[in-house]
Amino acid sequence: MRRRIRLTGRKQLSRTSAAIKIMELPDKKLLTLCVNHPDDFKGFPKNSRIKIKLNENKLVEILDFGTLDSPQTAVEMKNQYFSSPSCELRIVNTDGDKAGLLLGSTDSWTLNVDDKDKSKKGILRFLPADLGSRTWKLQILDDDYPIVQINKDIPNPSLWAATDPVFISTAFPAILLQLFTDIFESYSADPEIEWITDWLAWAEVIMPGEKAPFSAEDDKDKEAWIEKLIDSFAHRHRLSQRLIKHLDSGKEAL
Amino acid sequence: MWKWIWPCVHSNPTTEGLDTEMFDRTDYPYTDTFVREAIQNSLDARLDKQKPVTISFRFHQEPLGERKPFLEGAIAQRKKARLRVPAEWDEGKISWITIEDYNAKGLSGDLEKRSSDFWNYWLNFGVSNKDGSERGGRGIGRVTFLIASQVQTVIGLTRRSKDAKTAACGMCVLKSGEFDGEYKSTHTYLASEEDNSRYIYKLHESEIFHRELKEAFEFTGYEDSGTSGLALAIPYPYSELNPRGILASAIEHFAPAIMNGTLQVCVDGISLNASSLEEIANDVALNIHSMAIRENVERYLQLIKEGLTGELVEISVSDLRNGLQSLKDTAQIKELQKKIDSDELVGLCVAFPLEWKREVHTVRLKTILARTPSGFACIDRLFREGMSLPDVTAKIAPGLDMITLVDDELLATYLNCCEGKAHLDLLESQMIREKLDGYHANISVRRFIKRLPSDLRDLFIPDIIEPDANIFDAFFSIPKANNGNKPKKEKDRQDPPPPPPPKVPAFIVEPLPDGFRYKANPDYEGWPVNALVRAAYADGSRKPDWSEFDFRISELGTKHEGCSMVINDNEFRMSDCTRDCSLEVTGFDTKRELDTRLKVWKNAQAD
Amino acid sequence: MIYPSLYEFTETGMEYFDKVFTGHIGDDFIDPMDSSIAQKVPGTGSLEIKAYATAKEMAAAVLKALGTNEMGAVINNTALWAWLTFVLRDVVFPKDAAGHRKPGEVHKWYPTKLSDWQKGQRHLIRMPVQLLAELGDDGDHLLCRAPHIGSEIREQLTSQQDMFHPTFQRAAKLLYFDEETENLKRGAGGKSGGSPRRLAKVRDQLDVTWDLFSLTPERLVEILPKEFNRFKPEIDGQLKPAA
Repeated sequence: MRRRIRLTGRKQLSRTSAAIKIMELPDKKLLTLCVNHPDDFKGFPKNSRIKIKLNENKLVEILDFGTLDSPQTAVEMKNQYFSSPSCELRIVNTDGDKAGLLLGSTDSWTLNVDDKDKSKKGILRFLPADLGSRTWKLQILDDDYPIVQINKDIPNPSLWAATDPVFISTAFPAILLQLFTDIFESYSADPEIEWITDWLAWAEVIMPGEKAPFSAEDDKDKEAWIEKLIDSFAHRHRLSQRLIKHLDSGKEAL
Repeated sequence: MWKWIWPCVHSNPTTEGLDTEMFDRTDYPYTDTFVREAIQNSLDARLDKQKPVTISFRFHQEPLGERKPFLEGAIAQRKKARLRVPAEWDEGKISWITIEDYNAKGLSGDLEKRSSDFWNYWLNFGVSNKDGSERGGRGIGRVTFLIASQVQTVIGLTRRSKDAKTAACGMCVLKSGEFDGEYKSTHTYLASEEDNSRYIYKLHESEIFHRELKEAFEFTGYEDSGTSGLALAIPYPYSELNPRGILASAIEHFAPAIMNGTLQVCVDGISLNASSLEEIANDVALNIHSMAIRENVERYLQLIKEGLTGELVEISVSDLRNGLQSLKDTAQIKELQKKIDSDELVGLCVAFPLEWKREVHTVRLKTILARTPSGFACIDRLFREGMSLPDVTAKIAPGLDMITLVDDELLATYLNCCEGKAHLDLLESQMIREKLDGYHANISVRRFIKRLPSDLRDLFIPDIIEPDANIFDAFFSIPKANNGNKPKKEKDRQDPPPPPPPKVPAFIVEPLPDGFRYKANPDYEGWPVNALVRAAYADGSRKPDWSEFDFRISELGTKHEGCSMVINDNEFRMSDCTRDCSLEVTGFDTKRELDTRLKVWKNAQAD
Repeated sequence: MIYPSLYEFTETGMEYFDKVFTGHIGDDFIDPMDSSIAQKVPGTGSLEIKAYATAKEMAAAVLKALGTNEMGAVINNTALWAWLTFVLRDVVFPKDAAGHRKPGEVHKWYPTKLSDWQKGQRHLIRMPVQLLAELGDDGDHLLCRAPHIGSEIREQLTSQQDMFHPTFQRAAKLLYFDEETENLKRGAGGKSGGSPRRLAKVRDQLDVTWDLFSLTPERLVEILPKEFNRFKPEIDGQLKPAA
């Protein structure tokens, strides 16, 4: 049994007190804040400051969202290296000799953009297979989720496919291209097949507001949409940066 | 007062500091490094291979008394160099640790030659006595001991097996600079005079000196028994070194050597050997650093025992570059996979070639594999001649415990050459390639061994045959609440079964303005129990460390009733707790927050 | 030796740099102004290679030599920092009595990108320059030793990026730096109560209950526990203990 004794009177806030998200724009990243449960902050002086501390691989940034009675909803993140930082919400006293004391704070949690719901549903499946000299292959089925087959001779293929920066940065864009090209070629409207519906919902998260152009007459519009989706996906997951970091670290080991 | 000589530096360069970086690791507590270095040195100096080497750690605390003449000189020089001296010195008190080994060779070598083992130890830092035929060298061990002392001092008394001579010396780290018109060096030595013609020191050699030194620091000595070894005294050790920590480190890092009778460790009279290993391991389990071992020390010992005494299936690898790939999907491996799946321990003897001085030898190592019990972290350790190399592990170790034992002499010598200074890992630097000269700088064996924890797991983890939707869900997933399906109708939903009633905890925690109170829960019926409460200041991590500089329980207010209590560092061990039990601790720093942990278990004495 | 401007290694230069520091080739293999392996960095000025007494002096010289280049723009220019490491090699990795140079741990000489802070902060040239650029005199306690000496206090007090805040470093300077001797106070290099190692640890603890960035350095020193009393500066002849 573990128990915290809060000798300073700090209030433990729930991470659902506020909704915090990273929003990626073309030229910057914003951290957004929305108070879900104002009652959680009752009792704190109105001039207390709201701060969010982000932390990843010993890189730290603290963003100031103003005061409880006049909070900001978005603050630009200076640090460009964060990919999945841990996040902590803090309410800071500004009065008298207790200035700087944390009146309340949350535990840390990992911030993901689509962190609405912890229970996720995977929409791309994995299966090791006998592929000869080929590394991977995408299997698109009519009535079930697509499967990425990985050469079973690769050591720890599941671990490798899920974490190897070379595979992630090069194969994932190719998988998206192949998959959505196939969807647009096979259907002229949303076919309401479960796996396709889920993939379209996924694309909506990656590119909010940009519906898949099933009805576009010009194929170039569909191609452009796919390209934009891949760009957004790559930007979100910093694919080239992952690869470069991996290549740099390989160089150090030599 | 016995003389300490603080030499002039003449025109030689100086280097300040003790190269402590290799010990400044957050992943290894200092106690582990200290114990590893001490024991490894003694193992390497083992004399009669048919008997165990014994290493004894003892903690002492006395008035300065007869120890003062041996340290006065060094302390005066420390003060002159404006270096810190513990307050206890001026209060006339001293604490010290003695480390003595038996059935060991002692510090050998020509006492009149600068390049001998003896003078390498005291004067030539960064040099070890390592060649291809003999392990050991005490390369960095002495630095560990210097760091352990608040006055950066070590005094040693050795009786050597080769010539039965006794010799004693001591060193204390100062700092270079101009003092009394002379430019002084970085170290001072317990010796009678400088011997500039040989670039060494003339030691204090009289029988009186040896006898008084032995008595002052309570060395057991070697003359009476006619044996040999090295005895060290470390004055004013840092308090993070403690008996339980030393026992725990010895168990974590040297269990195979203890189990097979190569090593015995005594700590303040507690003898850790093959027969007492299990009992002591259970007692000090909470002090073990590795979580996987700490939470299941019995299993850890069981795996090692199986490796030492169990039946092994031999598998041969001829092409090290391909590793174990050729064995995948063979009938033999499939058979062993079935055994692992039925929770049996599988013992392998892996044989492969190693070229030494142009001749190819077949060397062997032993590995025990077993499925990790549910809810436990994977145990993953490699031991070279009974000492663990804790960084030789699989990057990801899903589901299989693995212990590897390398006792083959040729292979062990090879691996010893590949180990870094701290003997934690197998490395591949230019310096290591030079050491592997007799092996033709062959690094393929090192790579094979380094990959072995991953490759063996890959060999035995069954292939996935159904598509797995979880592998890519970090990139390709949607929240389950928004999966595009229509919500179920009300009548289709089934009420979940009611959750089981929560367990009644034995204790209730009450915060106090500057502390806490644990008191017996009146609703709990399972008395009597034992309990362990640990406290530390929260530091944002899941498991905050405690340091004696955070708080000392002796300086806090403590009250307990309804149990008997033993206090150790930041732990309150309560035995035979009854329904009237309570523990109150106050006096903490009210600008920080406390993290307290409670463990309760039964097997209490009273009914 | 004075270099008229700063350079950055080309890809080939980086390979040679790597080989020099891993002992595969000798120093004399590299001519740091050879255009086939190094290119001038525009906007930079001259740099004198000499025996700098302190890391601060060395950092000041490099900072000045950066000329019109902002530190933020060059901080991840691996090739530039590698070139500086090479030309300053005798300053930060002096040879021993036997004539051997032992650069030691790779991150001390190879300028790892600062996206991996724990590795990147160990570089013996870039880190002092960064500290001086960001903290100025507030970093004196981190830069007062000779450039080649791995500073325990620097390692401890820059291990997290948020330690780069002026509040924290000014507080550390108040604790550990003796303005009179322009050196660390006695005992500042140890591991015991009140040491920099402990300050890093206690900082983590106080971070649970305080927003340390909001505090003044004096206030931070004030709330430190009593183990730091021996380093706390005297105010009006009295030590300021923890409240």
